[in-house]
Amino acid sequence: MTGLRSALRSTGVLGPAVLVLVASLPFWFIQTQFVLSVATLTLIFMATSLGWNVISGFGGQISFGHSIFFGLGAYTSAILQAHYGINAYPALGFGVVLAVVVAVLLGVVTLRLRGIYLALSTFALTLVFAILTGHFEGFTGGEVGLTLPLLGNDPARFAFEDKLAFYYVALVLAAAAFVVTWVVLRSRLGLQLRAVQADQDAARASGVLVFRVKLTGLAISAVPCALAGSVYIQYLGFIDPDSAFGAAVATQIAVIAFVGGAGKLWGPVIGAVLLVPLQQLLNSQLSAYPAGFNLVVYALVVLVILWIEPRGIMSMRWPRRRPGAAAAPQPAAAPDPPPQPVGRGSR
Amino acid sequence: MSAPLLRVDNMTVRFGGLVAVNDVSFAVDEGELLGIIGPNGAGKTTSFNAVAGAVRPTSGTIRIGDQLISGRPPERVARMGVARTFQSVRLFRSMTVAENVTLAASTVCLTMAAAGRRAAEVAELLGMEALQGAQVDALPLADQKRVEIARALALAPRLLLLDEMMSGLTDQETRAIIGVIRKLNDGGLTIIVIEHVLRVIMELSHRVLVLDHGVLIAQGPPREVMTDPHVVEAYIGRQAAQTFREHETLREQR
Repeated sequence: MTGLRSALRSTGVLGPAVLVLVASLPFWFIQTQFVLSVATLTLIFMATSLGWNVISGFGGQISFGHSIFFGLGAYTSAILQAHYGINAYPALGFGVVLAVVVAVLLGVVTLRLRGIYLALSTFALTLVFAILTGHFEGFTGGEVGLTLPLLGNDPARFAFEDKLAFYYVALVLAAAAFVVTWVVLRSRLGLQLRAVQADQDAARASGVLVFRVKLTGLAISAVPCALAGSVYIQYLGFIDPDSAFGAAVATQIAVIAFVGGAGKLWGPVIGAVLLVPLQQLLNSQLSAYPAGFNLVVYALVVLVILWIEPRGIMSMRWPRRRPGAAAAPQPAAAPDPPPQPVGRGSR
Repeated sequence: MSAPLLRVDNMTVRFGGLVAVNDVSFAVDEGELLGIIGPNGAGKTTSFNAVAGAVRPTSGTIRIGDQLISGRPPERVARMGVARTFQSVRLFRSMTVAENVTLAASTVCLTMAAAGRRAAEVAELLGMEALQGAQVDALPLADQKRVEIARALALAPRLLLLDEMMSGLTDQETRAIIGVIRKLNDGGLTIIVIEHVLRVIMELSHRVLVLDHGVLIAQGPPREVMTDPHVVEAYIGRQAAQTFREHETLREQR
């Protein structure tokens, strides 16, 4: 099977190549604020989805609540800076620590659940976080949200006048998240997470400490999400409950990975590169009239991709071109080649 | 005489009102190959699951050496040296053969490098070096069963539990697996085999337990057990006993 999948499999060469390509992106596009903003957001959400992929992709423990860690990263950064004047870098560190602690606490409760029950409970939990942050106005800014103090250009406080700097910050974030998932996938933890996904009972019979493996996977997966949240607030300077913990963020993190290929190393990368720009484009072009039409188109694109290949783009088979078939047509009644297995419904 | 490797005392397993295993006691010595037979619903697989930790006995105790394993979760029991296969093959389908075996090794080896070496050793022992890179769901059933054994062996078990290895296999494949089991046992591994195919149990086992409706109704060397009038009348049925006698006569004539 030629094509994307096998090409991407040789990550060793391709990883650095993609990195150089993406790093040089601002120079070969006509650089507009819009393009730069879309690219930055793509990389930020790529990082959240890469984090999600560790526990939900490799481990098969589907979460619709990774926005919790994203939101905790964003809000911790925002609150510590806005209320306590703490420097952005330690604030970011606190955000990560808090997200990991919350991941472990939530994991102890939710990771005993399987399948749809885990997905639903994590989704419910992120909505609880949204409601709670909306409630405690004095601390979190309530429904109105929280705005970072303006710092101008102060790299020592993680503030840049030039938005290009944030593009590179986001690039480093996404690249680091990718490396983390790559390392996890090749490690003992990665193998054991995949076994848990494939057959939990068989994994236990093989001595896998399933609960501990899941908990570790969840804790690791919270880190890129929290970092992404911190970078997001530094970049936009503003956060509210809905854009931190809301249903849209919660589902987006998972949907990016599903569309690209959950459990595939490159899945979240492909998914983010496709969906985030699409979403931003639709938001800017189609949201006014008729209202919500942007969401309809977005949902249709997601549906069509998952209808063609439920396991995501990374699992798609690309039609193979037979050498000489076009040049010399087969004489007489050459039967059609058997259709390529599309894997529809084979999940 | 040394203490038995596995010791089950007064094990009872209840599912609600159903008594699946009723006050069963037995022991397995180091190096022994024990067969467990009985009709469907006799409690074979339940006893098996209880030993492997997948089912918690309602009462009674199970020991490996001097360690109590009843009440422990299956992953702990596996790490304490009790490895099992599943009646319906349950491999990690999204993985290669090597990954399946390495996974099991990874739970007992210190490093992944050591786990990889262990997996390679097991593959060599079972003569499956050529299959290492194959996806397991592309393999024929007989090979999948071999991978199940390999995965269990990767745990470096003290006791191997084999649940219905021969179901769905041809005679030739069955013979091959019997060869594998015998080889492992000759190497000193203690094995318990559950099997429907009586011929297999007869050929392999040093000793046979007969379960019926959750009760242990007989145990002893295969030939004695199979001709035990209780076993014949109560459970195997006259026809099977007849078949067995014919089998014996044929063997003597050879």
